[in-house]
Amino acid sequence: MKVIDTRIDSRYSGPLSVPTPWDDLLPLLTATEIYTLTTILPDGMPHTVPLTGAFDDLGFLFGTGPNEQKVVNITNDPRGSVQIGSALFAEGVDIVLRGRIERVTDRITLAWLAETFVTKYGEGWRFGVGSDSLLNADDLPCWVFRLVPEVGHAFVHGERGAQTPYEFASEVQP
Amino acid sequence: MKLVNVSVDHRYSVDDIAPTPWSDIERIFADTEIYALTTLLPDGMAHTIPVSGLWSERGFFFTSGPTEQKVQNLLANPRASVHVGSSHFFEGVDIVLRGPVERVSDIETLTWMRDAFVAKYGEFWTFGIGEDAFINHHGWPSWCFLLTPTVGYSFTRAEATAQTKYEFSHP
Repeated sequence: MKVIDTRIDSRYSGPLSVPTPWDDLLPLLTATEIYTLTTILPDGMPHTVPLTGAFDDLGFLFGTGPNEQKVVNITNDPRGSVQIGSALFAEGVDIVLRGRIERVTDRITLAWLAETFVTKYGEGWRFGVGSDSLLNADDLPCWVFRLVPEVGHAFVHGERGAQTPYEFASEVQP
Repeated sequence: MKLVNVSVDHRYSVDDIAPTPWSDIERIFADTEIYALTTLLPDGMAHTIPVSGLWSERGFFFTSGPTEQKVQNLLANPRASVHVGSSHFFEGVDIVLRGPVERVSDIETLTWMRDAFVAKYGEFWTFGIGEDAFINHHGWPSWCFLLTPTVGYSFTRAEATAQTKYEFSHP
């Protein structure tokens, strides 16, 4: 994820506000425990679910059973957004990243994610690494996807309220 | 809006858990200060933004300048979902409500909304009332909308993990 442009949206920001640096947001995104993923149902409606996940250099990684609704949605329309936020009026920040979702099957990333999940969520979130997916405690496959952000928005609450859009350069997969 | 069915999705819930009562979820939703509203961009992509809002037995009320992206989205596709949640792994609850959105412009509803916004967010969040919309402190109109849920979900955590579905009917 390489940010190529950061400007404040002065329509929705206060006179004292400054753009929120992307580098300030990454630690928040990484430390968050539960994210909100929105994909598009086949009828066009948004479908929002809470989920665990992790950020690597390319985007937001998450796992899901292959039969879950979000996989049906992604297969039909590979676009989605991930959001974290604050429910408080006067403090906190909301972050929304929008982009394309692709399946990840390489074992290096799968092994990295399995390790990251255990470190982040504890022993209850331990997965094995299969040939093209993670394996849960019952040895059932857990498919891994990455949302690669194209645009992002940060919404800082409170007196220095600011709305900052981010554009990301498209990166070639290593 | 009448709750007609409540069910637990056992695939995503711990064994023998009861559905999370709607009354518990409704109270949490009503007390939330900042909601995440998702509408649909003209290209079909989800557009999510934080908004202030109000809950009543009619549904979820919010307001927006008429030129904002979410209004453009709703004029083209009057459906949306609204989410509140917890970013913690072991505590809290996520709530998602989905349904059609309509503009509200009658003075009775606008007056109720104005008073409820001030009661919830303080004097800072005061609007004037125009012919068919709020008037903000710059003198510009702010349109009012109502999302009437047809379906909702709650996601509780930890040893009480349950995914509960709520279905609503409309007269």
